[in-house]
Formats: sequence, structure tokens, C-alpha cells
Amino acid sequence: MVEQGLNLLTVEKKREKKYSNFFTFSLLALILTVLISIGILLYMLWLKTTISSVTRKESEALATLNTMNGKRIKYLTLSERLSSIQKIVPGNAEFRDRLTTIAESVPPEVSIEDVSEERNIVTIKMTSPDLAAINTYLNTNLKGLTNKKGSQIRTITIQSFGLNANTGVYSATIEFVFNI
Amino acid sequence: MEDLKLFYKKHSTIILPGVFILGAFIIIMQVVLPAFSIVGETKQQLDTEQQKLNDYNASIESLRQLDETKLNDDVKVATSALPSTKDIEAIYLAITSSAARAGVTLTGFSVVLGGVYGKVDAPVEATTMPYVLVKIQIAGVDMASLVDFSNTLLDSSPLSKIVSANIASGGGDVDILFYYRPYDLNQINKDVVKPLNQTQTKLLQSLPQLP
Repeated sequence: MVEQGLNLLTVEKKREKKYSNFFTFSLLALILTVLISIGILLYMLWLKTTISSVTRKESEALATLNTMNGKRIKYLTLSERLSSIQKIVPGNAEFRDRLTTIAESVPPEVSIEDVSEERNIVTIKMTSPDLAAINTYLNTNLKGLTNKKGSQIRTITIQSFGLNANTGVYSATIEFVFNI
Repeated sequence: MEDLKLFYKKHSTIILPGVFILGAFIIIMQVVLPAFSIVGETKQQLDTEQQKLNDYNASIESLRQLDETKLNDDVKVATSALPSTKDIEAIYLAITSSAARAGVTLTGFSVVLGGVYGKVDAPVEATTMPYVLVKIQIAGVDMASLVDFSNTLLDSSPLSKIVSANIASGGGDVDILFYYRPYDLNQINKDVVKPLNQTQTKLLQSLPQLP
């Protein structure tokens, strides 16, 4: 009987401790939640105040900018023009670059009579009384053109080669196709 | 009432913590969780406003450092290189002066101003930028002077591009596109001024300078 009474007391104490722990835990949870809420509200208040301050500074800065309106518009116009020009340059120099590439490869003994350039195709007619010079150009210089580093030439075709018996001048028509 | 008091006294060890937890739960659901999303939005708004302020201040600083005389010259150079309208006079001057400098005789000049209505087959190279197509006839030209002519034309305003040439027996036709573009007012009416980047600065220096 005595043992049973002691056991009941222990169980009761354990239960009380359990309730006490539960109470402490719930109270702490509530306090923590309240503290977090207060923290968040204070942080929001700080954010709102900072936004107001930044917005006020923005208005001041905008007012200062408005005093420089003329300069601002000129500068933005310059920037706008340059953005558009970037779409043209350097692509507009293709014609010159292609002709220069071909012209630089032609030896002085050979002269170019006709030139035609349409889109990415350049056709030239070259003449020379010196067969050896034309031969060297066709066999050596043309190959050199395609092997050149950064060469934009896709294909080279010798369309015709002939001799004008009256004048003794040799002529060749060559088509260069460049990469687009 | 007495019953309630009795009930409370009997079960206070459960009721009070239960109320605390319920209170904490309600605060979390009604205050903490909604506040998190509001804080996120407000923080984002602050970042945006701060960025705007920084941009305004940077714009003010950039504009203060600008030399107005140089800026005026740069604007003239850029707008001459790419006019906002079809400037036929400037086009004609660019062609005649380039021809003269390259030692080429200009024998014909015609401008294709474009249709009034309907789609036109534009050269592929020009489809992204408005242009005026000019067809010229030249004489006294060889390979070297044609290269010179194209070189000097590249150094002239307005910006142009030779799209085709057909030269035979010292004379022939050349088709040139002269570019223009109306101002993009969305870009000009902005509050924020960003300094020119390195590419734009280099581009500005490479543009044909005014006489």
C-alpha cells in the first residue's frame, strides 16, 4: 500500500512538471512570436521611412537634373545616334575591304580593266601583255589570297582566259565569292 | 459563470498554455507571414528607388563633367553621320567631294526616294536601317580610284554603303545606300544619362569629322 502511494506521488509530480514545461514553452512561443512581430513591424517602419527619404532625395536630384536639361537632351541624342550608328559601322566598309583585298594581290604588271561587285560577288577582268605575270597571279597569288589569315573569300573561279591576237594582250575574268 | 470558473481552475494548466499557443499561431498567421511578403515587396521598392537615386546622381555627375562645347561638336558629328531625315544636299556633297578627292568624274546622279505605299525589295544589307538609294554614273575610274572613292565616301557624312558597282572601260554605275534614321524619342526623353561606353567613344572618334 505504501509503495502504491509513493508511486502516485511521483506520477503526480511528473505530470505537474510536464504541465509546467508546457506552460513555459507556450509562453516562450508567444513572447517570441510577439517579439518577431514587433521586429518585423519596426523593420517595415524603417523601410518606409528610408523609402520616403530616398524619394525626397530623388526629387531633389531630378530637380538638379532638370536644370541641366539642355545638356541632358544633347547627350541622350548623341548616345541615341551612336547606338544606331553601331548597327551600320563597320559593316558598311565591306565593299572597300573586298576591293582592297583583291587590288593588293594584283602585281603591277597586271592591270584591272573591269570591276563588278554585286552583293558578295566581285568579278574582275584583268589584262596584261605579260603571260608569265598573269600565270603567276592565277597560280600563286590567288591561292595566297584564300590561305591568308582571316580571308573572307569563299570561292574563286576563273571564268575565262584568252588572248587578243591583234593587241597581244592576255585577259582573264575572275569571280570572287566572299562570305556574307 | 461559477461553472466556468470551476472549469478554468480545474483545467488551467491546459487552458492557459493552449491560449498562448493559439495566440502565437494567430499572430504568425495574421501578422508574421503576411508581413514577410510585404517586407519583401517594400525592400524591393527601396532597392528600386535607391537604384534610381544612384542613377540620377551618376547622371548629374556625368553631365557636370561634360564640356558643353565638345558635346555640341560631338552631337553635330553624330547627327551628320546619321541624319534624322533624307538629307539629299548632304548626300550630293558627300558624293561630289569623294569623287573629286579620288580623281573620278561624276557623270550622273539619281536618287531613289522610295515608294509611297507597299513593300519594296530592299537590299539585304539595308533592311534594318532606313536608307536613300543613290545611283551614280562615274567616268575616268580604275581599280585604284574606285578603292579611293569608296575610302573617301566612308570618311564622309552621311554614312553610306556601296552595295554594287559595275565598272567597265573606265566608266560605270555605282549604287550607294545613304543611311538616315528618325530620332528614337523613347531614348532621348529619359531622365537617366549613362556615360558612353568604350565602344561608343571609339566609334565617335572614328566618325567623319566636320570640316
